[in-house]
Amino acid sequence: MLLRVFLSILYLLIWSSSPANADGRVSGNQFLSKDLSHLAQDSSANPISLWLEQGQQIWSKDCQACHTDLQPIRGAVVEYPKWKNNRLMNLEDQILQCFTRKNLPNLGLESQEVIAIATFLSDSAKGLKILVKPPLNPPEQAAWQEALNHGANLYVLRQGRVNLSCTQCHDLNIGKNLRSDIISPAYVTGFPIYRQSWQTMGTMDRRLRACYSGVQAKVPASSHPDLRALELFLKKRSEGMAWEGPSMRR
Amino acid sequence: MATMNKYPIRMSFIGNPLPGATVELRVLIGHPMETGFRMADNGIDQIPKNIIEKIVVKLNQQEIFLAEVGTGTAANPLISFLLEVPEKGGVVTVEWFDDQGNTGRTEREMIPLQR
Repeated sequence: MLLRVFLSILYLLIWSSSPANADGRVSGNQFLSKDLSHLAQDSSANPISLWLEQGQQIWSKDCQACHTDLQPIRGAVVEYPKWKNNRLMNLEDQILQCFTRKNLPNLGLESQEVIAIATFLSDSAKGLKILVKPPLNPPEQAAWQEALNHGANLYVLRQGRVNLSCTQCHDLNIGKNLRSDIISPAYVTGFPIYRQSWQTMGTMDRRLRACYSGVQAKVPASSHPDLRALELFLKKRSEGMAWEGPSMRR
Repeated sequence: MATMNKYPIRMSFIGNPLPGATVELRVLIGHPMETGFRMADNGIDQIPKNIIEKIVVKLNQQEIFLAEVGTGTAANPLISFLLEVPEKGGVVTVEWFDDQGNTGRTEREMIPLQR
């Protein structure tokens, strides 16, 4: 009995000392197993560093000619997805658009090059606060708001054969086990992710599609507006939290 | 467009490689390690097997470590082992060979950190 009281006090202490935001929002990185969080912090062992180095090389070779100053780009990383050209664009979309503008081959959203640059930029923005801004132009602002509402609706919509909505796991059952993983709250503070089950780095686009597949719903095509709307909603939810750069997941 | 190195490789020493000291050598190889059992997205085509078969580590041209790797190894394999730094220091060379004939190589000199 005494042991149990002691343990629960210990647990409370650990829980309260974990770096949560003032409003109680906790990043998904706090839900990693001990081994995985060690791996995530050890740059000499974790595979993210492979992408990071390559991204840095591509950046200095191809991007730095125009973007001489990394500082404004760092600030922009935490503001995506943004409303541009009548659609929501996330960081990877923007990188791809830059490729097109420079007449480079369109390698696709999940290409190693795009992910490497995204990883490098995401890493450079570590520590900044997430800030999603609506566009200034009123008609665009209305469209942006509509996309945000759509994302919020998708978040609570029951989907798939499993008939679950995002909120049922990621709000109502946080900290419980789902198979052998611990359910983390849906705060998107660190993308792209190296997911061990993918054995590679992936974007939020891919992560969300994996969620659709997880509840056995019809998986939307890559860069579907639904995915961007969800991403916008999730970013809005995480607004004010610190960006943590590329992360590891199981 | 800078072409992405398909097989990046990264070597690091954990600890100060002073002569006579023991350091941990870590080698991280970017490799898909395809088992050959996975299907492509269309569900019809099989993704061809592509597996590292051999990793060789040499210290001053002399083989000190040999790993025969198989399908049980995850993508982007990490190998690490302890290494005694020779009195005169040295150069560590890592080479790997896969079943499709691809190879990779990196080398690094053990230079003690200045205090």
